[in-house]
Amino acid sequence: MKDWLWSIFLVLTALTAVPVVAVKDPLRQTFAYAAFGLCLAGLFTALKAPDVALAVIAIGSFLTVFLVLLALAKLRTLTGGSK
Amino acid sequence: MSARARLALFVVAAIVFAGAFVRATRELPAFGQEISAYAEQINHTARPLRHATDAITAVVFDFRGVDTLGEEFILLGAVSGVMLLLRPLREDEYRKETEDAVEPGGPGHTPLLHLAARLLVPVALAIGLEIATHGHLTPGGGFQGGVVVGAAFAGLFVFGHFRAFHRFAKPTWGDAVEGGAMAAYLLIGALAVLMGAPYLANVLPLGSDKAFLSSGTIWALNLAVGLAVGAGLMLLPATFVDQLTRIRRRA
Repeated sequence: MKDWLWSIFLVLTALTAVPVVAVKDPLRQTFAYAAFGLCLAGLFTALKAPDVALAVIAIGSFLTVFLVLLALAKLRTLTGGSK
Repeated sequence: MSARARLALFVVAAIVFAGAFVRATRELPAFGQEISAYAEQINHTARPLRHATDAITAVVFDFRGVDTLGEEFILLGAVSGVMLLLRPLREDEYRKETEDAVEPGGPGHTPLLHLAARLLVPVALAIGLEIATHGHLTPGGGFQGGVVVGAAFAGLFVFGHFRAFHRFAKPTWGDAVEGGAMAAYLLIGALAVLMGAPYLANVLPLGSDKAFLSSGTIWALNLAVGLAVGAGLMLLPATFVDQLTRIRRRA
């Protein structure tokens, strides 16, 4: 196993996890979460779990982001389209 | 509770957790170094006994099939809950026709988006179906494949093909597939009981290694989960999109 490869992704995953909890604005937080998902998928791929990586990308970086964006757009229509 | 009391409670809890966590992880085998006794057992049973070349799928749908049944019902419950919460309420108006601001070829829709929809959505759909139907042979399975199928439907909307999204991502077939696939999982388990074996025992013909139709109930249960997850993750975006495009609070 290429130790350096998964080590890089492990560090990247830890680093990208910080903004997911630190960012307050839900819109920015969503994209931080998507970036975290991609790094996590890289880590899973490096650890020879391509199927888990695919699920993480599809759910974490795509569907979750999509649903949160739709929810935020709906909220905007309810609050009178400010912002 | 005052901020101080909360902090004190947190510090105590954190210290206890940290101690237990460090103690627990020290007992674990070294990271990525050795194959555990359990993994060794699985490697020696999944293929010879079940003819499933993906040992993980054999574990998920055979060795611990009842756990997976529970997990699938969690998904069913979650999707049903979201759909119940986001239904049109009495004070909402539900519009059959949606105002689709952006359509292929229309203003605001770039050729690149059009190409992405035409190219990526069918490819994602094909990859999802391939992963879902070959779960017993190659990495992945019903869950992973179903997730990609759901994402492919959502892609139609993301790439601006709203009309196509509304036409294909429909609760009418989604509900039927989701519920039908879950019922199929239960019935495949009951089939074993009818044949005098324990619930969810692998009673179907096992076939041979690497054959598409092989590994008995693993194949069938995997397909059922693929359909349920695919329909469920199509229903979620469809429900959210409905809230945005069709449902308006009455003034």
